[in-house]
Amino acid sequence: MNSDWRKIDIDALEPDSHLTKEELIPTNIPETTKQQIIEISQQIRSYLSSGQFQNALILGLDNVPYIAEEETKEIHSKTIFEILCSIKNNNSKLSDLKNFIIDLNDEQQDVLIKYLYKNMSTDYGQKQGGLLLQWFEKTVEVTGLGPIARYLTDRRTV
Amino acid sequence: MTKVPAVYQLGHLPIKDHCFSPDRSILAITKENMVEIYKINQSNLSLKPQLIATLNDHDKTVTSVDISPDGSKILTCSQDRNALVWEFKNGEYKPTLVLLRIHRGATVCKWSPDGQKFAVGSSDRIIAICYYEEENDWWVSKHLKKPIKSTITTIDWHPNSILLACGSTDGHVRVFSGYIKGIDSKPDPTVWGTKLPFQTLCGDFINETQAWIHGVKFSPNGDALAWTAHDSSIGFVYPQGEGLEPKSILNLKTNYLPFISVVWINDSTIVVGGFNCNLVVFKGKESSWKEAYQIEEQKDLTKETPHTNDDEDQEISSHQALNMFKQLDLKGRVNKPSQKQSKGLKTIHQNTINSIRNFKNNQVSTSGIDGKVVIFNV
Repeated sequence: MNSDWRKIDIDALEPDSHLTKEELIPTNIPETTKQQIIEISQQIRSYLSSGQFQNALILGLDNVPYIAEEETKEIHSKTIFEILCSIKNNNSKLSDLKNFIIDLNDEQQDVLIKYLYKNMSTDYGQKQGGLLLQWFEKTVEVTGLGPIARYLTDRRTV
Repeated sequence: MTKVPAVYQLGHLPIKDHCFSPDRSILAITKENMVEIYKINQSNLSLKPQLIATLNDHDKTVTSVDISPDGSKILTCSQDRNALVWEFKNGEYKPTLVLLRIHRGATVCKWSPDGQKFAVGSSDRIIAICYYEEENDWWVSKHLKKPIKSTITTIDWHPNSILLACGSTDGHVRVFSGYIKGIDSKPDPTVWGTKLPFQTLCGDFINETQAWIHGVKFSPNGDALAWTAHDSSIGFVYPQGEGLEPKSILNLKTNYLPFISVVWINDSTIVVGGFNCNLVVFKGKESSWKEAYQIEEQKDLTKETPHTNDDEDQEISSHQALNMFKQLDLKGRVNKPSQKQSKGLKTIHQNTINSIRNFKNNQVSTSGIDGKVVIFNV
């Protein structure tokens, strides 16, 4: 049976009512520049070197470049990865990770899950897969399944 | 009184939607391309319903079913782009075709509370408001189009039968006027607006994630609207009049799997359910909403179940074998399935709850992918 009719573009006659990619992204988010993200990453590194891990984590998770160049997003994602590694290296017990997560608010926990997934997709993240999975396990233990559902559905990608 | 007055296992095919007649004597469920009509024993709900008719004029999956407020007409719509109105005449159900004029599947249909009209949502970016035209003896429709640009997943009528709320896959919840001249009398002003010619957009709300909207429902007094979305959140809006910002818009993030359907028990209580297979009750008002309780006890899906050491040679069922493969895939190790685990979920519904409806005061009925229709006390 010929199934070519499945490929007919039945929307061709109504070009106006098509949804564009831009329409699916909320408009009320300001754009983040590379400069801003680099400044934040410097601030985070100084927190990390002085042992203020929670502050570093919160600063990273509060400043998400949702609307930004791909390169800027990458930089921030790497910065978050550094924080996660640094916390893990300085806290040998798994239960310590949990305390860091408990002290985050709902929004920050959601963002953390997004960055865990994002880092799992990178080469450097995959080399530290165990570390990311430990963070992931502890986060889901604290939060439940909600942040995963929001990672999957949120049109604001990190 | 028990917590669950009735559990009906009606085959094992998914039930996308179900509806009881207003006197609760008839139950209609969708099943693939058909709609099955069952007779319910009103004095003893727990008795098995009796199949009295099968409606099979649709030639694609039936997506929604609704019974008119007077109980005389059954409305169905399907992916075959049609809606049918069924009436019981001379011992059988006879369909009347509705002129929907849509080019893609119909996704959802609902009678207005006064029974004069109904609305059909579609993936053609259109909601058809349908009404009966006496001189031609058929149902005709007017289209709500702008500014809809995506599939309508859910609709609900305001108690005044004029306003219609809808949710769509672009994450928007919108409230339209479905006022039809000659059918409706002039509506009284509401918090949603004063002047309401057809197609007036009275509200347009989004969640910050812009995830798919699965369910919308007006509160019993009509002054608030609740919705559920695929980001596991529940939204509420309390408008205060035309041209004014709403009194409050709330977005309550939950840590359950996403909810599909929502109903109000009263103006400060809702029940939601969906992919978590359980019903959850939330209470609140315009300042804030909070989870009250879960209707059924449920084990936490994120916690590992402790495994018991069973005999090595024990025979395992195909379901258990599948679970073992899944575990091996997910965790790289196998927990020997115990008898306890193989019994499935602790909740009555063993799969996603697709629709929830009000049954009686403080009772709701649910239907799901597992082919069950259940009545719960809330």
